[in-house]
Amino acid sequence: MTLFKEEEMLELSESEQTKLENSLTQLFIDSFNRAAKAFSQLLLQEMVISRYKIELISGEQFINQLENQMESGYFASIIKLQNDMDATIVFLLTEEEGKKLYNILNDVKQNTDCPHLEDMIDSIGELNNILGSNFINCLANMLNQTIPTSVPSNTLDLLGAILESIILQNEYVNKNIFFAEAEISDKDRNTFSVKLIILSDKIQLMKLLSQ
Amino acid sequence: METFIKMNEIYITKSPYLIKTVVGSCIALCVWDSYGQIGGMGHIMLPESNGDQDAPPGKYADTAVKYLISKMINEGSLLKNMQATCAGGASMFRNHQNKIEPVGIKNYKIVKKELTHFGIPIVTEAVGGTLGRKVLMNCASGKITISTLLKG
Repeated sequence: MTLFKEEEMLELSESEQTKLENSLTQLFIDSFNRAAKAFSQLLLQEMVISRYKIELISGEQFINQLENQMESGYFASIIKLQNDMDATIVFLLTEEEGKKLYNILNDVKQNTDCPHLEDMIDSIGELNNILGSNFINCLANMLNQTIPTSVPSNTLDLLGAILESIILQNEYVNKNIFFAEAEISDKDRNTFSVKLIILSDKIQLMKLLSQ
Repeated sequence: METFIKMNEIYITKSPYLIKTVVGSCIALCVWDSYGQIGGMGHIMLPESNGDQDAPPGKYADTAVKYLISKMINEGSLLKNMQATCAGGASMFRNHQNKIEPVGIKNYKIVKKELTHFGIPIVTEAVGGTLGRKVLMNCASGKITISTLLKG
């Protein structure tokens, strides 16, 4: 069963598609690099991007890719851009990696149960906000314009519930999704796999990025 | 065997399968016929179809309830033997909410209205709040388990 209506999937020419993908790839790499630097300063140790993957996929493909993780817990931070680009940016970090990061940040021993869940959500939310602000700064530089955003919304919940609520709230079911995943590692080979998603209309995004 | 129900999907079975889904703002509707041992689940996204003929029947609450019940009747269920469980309709992102009624609650109201129309009682419901829910329906026993990540 498909969630999408074919007639609503407006298509770009091959060269436009390539240009869009190149622009977005550059945007993602720049923003992840900046985020890694920000993480390094925060954690007082060098953090580098050890692996990344960038895709422009349909909402359906995106959901199918993550189907086996729908019941997993994820920290999520959601930021809505409030300019001409009707877009939502979502950062996702698994519950396990979020807790690991929280423990490093708070110098707590690994595997210690942390009773302060709200504190943890806020802390991970702050990290996601760092990623978010770096990404938006890169985008603003690329577009040479100021991009106002919403106050970030942070949560820890089931991935399926997070994604479905975002899709439902923003009516992105019929649109494409820009999905990037980066693995940021420290010297002890602690790795954090950060998922970054832009939900937007690709035609609109193409127009902006081609300015 | 386990089956995961995605958004807009409806699944009916007479076999002793485990049907599961995860919902946030959407509504998971489970209907169980204890006499015929037939179970059905829908993952409903929006309240009303407003004439959207091309949409999958499970997408809107008004069409999904009718579709799920008609499929169960086709499998041999009787309305009088059916009972329903609803879960979902959460408002997960507080900062992004506005003053209008959350779509999840609208979904639930339409589901409830349609079930009432068919005379199917809602025996269990876990609707609203701010947390996503995992819903597991055991079609061997009709037992339905609803859990959240943070509260179990």
